Amino acid sequence: MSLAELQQRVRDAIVLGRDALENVSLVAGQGDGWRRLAIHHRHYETSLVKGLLRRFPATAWLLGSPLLIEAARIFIKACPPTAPCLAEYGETFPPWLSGWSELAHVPYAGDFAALDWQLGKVSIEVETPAVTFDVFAALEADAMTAVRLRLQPGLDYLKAAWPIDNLMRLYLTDTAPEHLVLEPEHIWLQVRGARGQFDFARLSESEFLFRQGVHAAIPLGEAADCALDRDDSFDPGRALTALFTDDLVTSILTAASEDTCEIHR
Amino acid sequence: MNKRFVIASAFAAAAAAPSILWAQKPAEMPSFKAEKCYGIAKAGQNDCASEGNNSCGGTSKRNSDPKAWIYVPAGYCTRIVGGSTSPK
Amino acid sequence: MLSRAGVGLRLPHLSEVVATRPPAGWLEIHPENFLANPHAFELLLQLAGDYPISVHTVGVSIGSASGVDWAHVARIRELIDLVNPVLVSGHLAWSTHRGEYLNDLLPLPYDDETLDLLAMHLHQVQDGLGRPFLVENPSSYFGFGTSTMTEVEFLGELVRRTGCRLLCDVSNVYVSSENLGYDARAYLDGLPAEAIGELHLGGFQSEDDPDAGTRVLVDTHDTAIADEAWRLYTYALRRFGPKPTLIEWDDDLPSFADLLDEATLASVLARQAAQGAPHVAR
Repeated sequence: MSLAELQQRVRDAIVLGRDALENVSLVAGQGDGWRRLAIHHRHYETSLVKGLLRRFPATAWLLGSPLLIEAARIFIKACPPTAPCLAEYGETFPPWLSGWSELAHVPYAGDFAALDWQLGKVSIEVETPAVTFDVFAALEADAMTAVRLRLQPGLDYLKAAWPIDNLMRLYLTDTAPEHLVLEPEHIWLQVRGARGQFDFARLSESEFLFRQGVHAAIPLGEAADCALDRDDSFDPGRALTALFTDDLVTSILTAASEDTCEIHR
Repeated sequence: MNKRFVIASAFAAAAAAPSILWAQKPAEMPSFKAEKCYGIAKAGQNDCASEGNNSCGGTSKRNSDPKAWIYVPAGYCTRIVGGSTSPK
Repeated sequence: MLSRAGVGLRLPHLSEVVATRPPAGWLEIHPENFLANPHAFELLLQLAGDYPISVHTVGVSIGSASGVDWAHVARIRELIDLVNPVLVSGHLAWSTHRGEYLNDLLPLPYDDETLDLLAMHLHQVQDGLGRPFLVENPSSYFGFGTSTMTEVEFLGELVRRTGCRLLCDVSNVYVSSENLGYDARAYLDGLPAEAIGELHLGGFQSEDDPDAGTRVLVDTHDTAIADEAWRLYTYALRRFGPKPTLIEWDDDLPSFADLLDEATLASVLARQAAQGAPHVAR
């Protein structure tokens, strides 16, 4: 058996359970090789489930630990980490939860978990000093629509079909009432954070589309176009300046430049 | 009117206007400290930085009771009325 | 420079260390904890000016037959170029497989195929990182029946083949020797002393297996260094001479001051060993 085959079998035993380790001779002093291998299986399961629970504390509050643990146990077998930095593990857990049949009666769970994930993610980012609007205003007028902006790293845009932001606030402020009525409602959120703090707020749909587009490094004109398509009362000028007054812009990329002609403040 | 023209004009107008006209900051949003949520609360200013957890040892190798890390017995979703897209 | 023992810097202690700059000899980090945490990375860069930093990887899987994660190596290279560590290291183990990270250090059979693979990967990793990469002996719970040499023989061959340096985890030597039934001191006697670049000490726990009537030592890194490990450490110092020593503690963390106390004990033992009988180099 080649080393590659051996490692495949050990991987299967650790991720899925012991039955996959055939034709492999283990030695363990006075002990039993299989039970010793189980130490690694136990570690895989326990450490990753614990990690996910800690990484989704609001979701654990919403669903209860037993249910979230059950979900995590299945998820870690189906979707092992793909990179060695564990703080990045769990990004695909929210969409997975959305599709899990056990949560069919909690249709807002995936969206809520996605917000949970993003809050944790932005809170460990750093913000850098923002570019002020006068730097943009100094550009040639006919170059403005082709400009792309780079925004603060601790930023994300989420939409949901349920008012999960209100639900999250109840969790964060410990003010959840005994019973809560939840009605479907389309919401568009900006999530922002850095250095241990975070917040989130609703945007109008058009504002969301504009900011999401800018965040995705789409040229300003196209991002505004997207927003105007949805709402012809969208004000591109006001939306643009708001990005600067909110200290969101970290660099301005002109059309011809890619990254070589960045204009900083 | 051509949308591209509308957009380009709006940007140019904003650039030309005194910045004071546009300096309407959003309402103060509550800012939450990550220590409440994203890691064990320890003394220090950046408790969110307690995420990570790569190590080369492992207490998870021990055969300990997994209930030890169950800390929320039941879910709040059981107290939510409505919240279903179809009747159960 | 690293004559005083160092301590592992774990994220829960990070803000305290930045704020108070305690008298640690040096600090060792898992780069994986900082690569995915920009805020922690920012704080680390502040510390790198004041403390010697050692980079101890867990995700550079030189033992993976399916290949090393080169994207991860590139990220570590960026960190190394900014932090300028005094030591860079990893493990005689594998932790990744075909694009998956298994969050553990898994054992290898000790044979020629593994030797060829590790020699090749070590050469490529050292090129990729631009630094020597010390290889640490693992804590083992089992071995493979197909091994054609012992672990210490394997490490000796690896050093002979590649000129690499070793990180000797004395606690791991103790744990593995108890779990697999060999003599810890004979293991230390078999290591090439001149190749040792660093020593580790970490806590372990004992678990009984009543059905088998045995116990297994588990490398938990969640408790103080055991007496047996301290004794073996003294033996290692006499065998290797003084070497930079690091105290590892990853879970159930004590105060940072308590960590420094463990480091102080290691430093005292090292001084005593240096003043005692001269070390026996081979």
